[in-house]
Amino acid sequence: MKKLIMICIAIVTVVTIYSCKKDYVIGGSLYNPKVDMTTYDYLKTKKLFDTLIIMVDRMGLKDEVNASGTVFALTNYAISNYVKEKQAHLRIKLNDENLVFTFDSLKLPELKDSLRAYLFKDRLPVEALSEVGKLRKSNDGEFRLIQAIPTTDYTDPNIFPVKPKYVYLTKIVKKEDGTGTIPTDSTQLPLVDPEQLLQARVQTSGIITNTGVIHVVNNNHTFTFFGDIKN
Amino acid sequence: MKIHFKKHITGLLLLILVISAVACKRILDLEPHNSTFTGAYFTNGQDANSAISGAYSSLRRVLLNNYSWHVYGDAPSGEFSIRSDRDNQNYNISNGEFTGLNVGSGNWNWQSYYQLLQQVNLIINKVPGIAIEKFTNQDDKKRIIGEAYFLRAFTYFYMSRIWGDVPLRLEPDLDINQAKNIPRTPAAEVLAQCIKDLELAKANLVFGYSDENQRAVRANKGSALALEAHIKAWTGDYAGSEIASDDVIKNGGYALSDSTDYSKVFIGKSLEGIFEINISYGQSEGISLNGGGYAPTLRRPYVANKADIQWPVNTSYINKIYKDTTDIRYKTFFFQAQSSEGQTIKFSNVTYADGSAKNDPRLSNNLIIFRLADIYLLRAEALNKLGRDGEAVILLNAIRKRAKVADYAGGGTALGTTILEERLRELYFEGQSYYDMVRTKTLSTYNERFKDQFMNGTPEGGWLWPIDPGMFKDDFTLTQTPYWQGRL
Repeated sequence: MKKLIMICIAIVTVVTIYSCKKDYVIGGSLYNPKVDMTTYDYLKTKKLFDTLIIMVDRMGLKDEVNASGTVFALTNYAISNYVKEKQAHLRIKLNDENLVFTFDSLKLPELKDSLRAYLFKDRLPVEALSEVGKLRKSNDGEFRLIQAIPTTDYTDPNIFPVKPKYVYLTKIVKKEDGTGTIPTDSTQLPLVDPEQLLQARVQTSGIITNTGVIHVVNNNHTFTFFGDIKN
Repeated sequence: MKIHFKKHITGLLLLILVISAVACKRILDLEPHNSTFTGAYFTNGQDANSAISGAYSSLRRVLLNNYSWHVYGDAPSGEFSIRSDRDNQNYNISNGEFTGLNVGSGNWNWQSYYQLLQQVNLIINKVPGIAIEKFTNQDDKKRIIGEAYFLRAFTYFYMSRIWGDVPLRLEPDLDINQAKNIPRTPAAEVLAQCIKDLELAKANLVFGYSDENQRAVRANKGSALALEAHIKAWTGDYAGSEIASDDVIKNGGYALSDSTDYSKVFIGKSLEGIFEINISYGQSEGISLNGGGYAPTLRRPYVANKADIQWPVNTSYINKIYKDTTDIRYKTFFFQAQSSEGQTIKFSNVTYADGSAKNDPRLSNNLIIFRLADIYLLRAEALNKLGRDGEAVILLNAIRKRAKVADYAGGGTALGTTILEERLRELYFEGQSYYDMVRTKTLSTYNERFKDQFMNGTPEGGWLWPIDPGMFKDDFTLTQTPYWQGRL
């Protein structure tokens, strides 16, 4: 009798454990941040970055992109925003409301350093970033503040104790009245007034390629932060 | 044994019979406990006081629901570059597409306004019948009646600015079965009734507050006069508006706050406040931004953990209006106004209910409906229209002085434009700008999307809102707003 019970329990246990093994997910796949390509090749496979690829090619930055630990990738929209802002700016500046300015009008070699401000030597996956953030030196020598800031926009913090994080690439500028200091290392960050921070949010973070990490800057960003008029 | 059992059963049945016969009477009350429709209610001062509190709370709900105070008064004025991807409904509204995608019943339906009006009409109907001895504080009776007339005038004026003609209902429906449908009453008639109500409100109310806690959040004579000045200016009676606003300024006991205390005006109950809706975390009435509250003009660092801003400022509008670099309002009202995520921080008094974790933000700013600066500038507008530029400039410069902007010296239409733009600067995001533009017939200058549908502010224009077709099924007397006929 005792033996029978033990056998029964054993069967039930085995069945219970194995019955869970079948996954009930239909379609989709487990999240895998890794792609088996170089950063440049990966960007080339996505239509969203074809303008960026044109810029990289013409500026001869392909090797530098692949040598960078972290790339903040600009979508076509972010570059298009720049062209639009530039046109509006030039129309006012040259007092010609019919002035036409397109992507072809850009002098790409002059913008090389502006694009290099989005490339970083260090490898910065999301796990390496904090809410306070650190100032990091980009390839053109400018400093950028890089943070991963938790948000409650889409989750109720009472239900999900771990908040999702947005990665931000932030340019620090002077205040509108010209005051305020631009820090050169992370210890000076507490002196910065929040008004000085021009934030660009990352829409897709932590794509890991064979050569580095890609964070995709959101579509509403304007290349070089040109949309922020007092910048 | 069997006999015993039978006895038990009979006894039990008898018991049940007796209990059920007696019980019914007590369980089923013949009169509803909390009915406001029978003589059971409105018998003493306590009832009258809770009824008027209920009316204020309905008004609060109506103005906060769907963010309507700012959606009607600010969104279509061009103050904001509302993001279509984050708030598509109000993006469409800001382009004058009052029937656009996602714009709907919540914006068109006025039923909740009539719930408020029913409450107010009940007070007007019943409170005069309560004997004065039944009030603990005998001044309350007159005051409550006066406040009810004020609330009725305010509600109809507010509705008429949104929809134009609205059904004018002045008696409470005491019996729901006999409630009648009323067609839309012409706007002029509705507004004339508002002025009549305000005469009664003024007769029953006094200036000042005996209880400082009620400052501005309960209507007084000053609130009634401010409303009168607004209604008369709206109908083009600038002479009447001038007299009413003069009375507010001279006798209301209000004072402009100092430049340094500017931001306190927007927290509420300041000496400048004439009428406000109470929103105070200290009184457990803050707006929970996680619990359905909306703060579309704010994000980090003003609301920690909020990454998105739905209503960034319209930078070109700001640069057109705020030209003066010394203007302290630019710094006080805005944060990073030159960026694509410019925040309006007038109403940014956020407290976190969970302390340093900062996951539960509560907004604690009163909704400012009328304040002294608004009445100063309204009077200046009236004086300018009446050709009394000299007096108008004094009022205008009082506001400019506080904002640290140089005095203005000029007259005629140029002065008129300056006064309007001073209003747009001073009252940015206070639910006034759209109506200021409509009243002065300048809407299409500031928001060119209205070029075709504004029709110079006539009742045929598309600056008025359509009404919810859903309301037609219960009421065959209703008709659609002229501009929107056939467009819905």
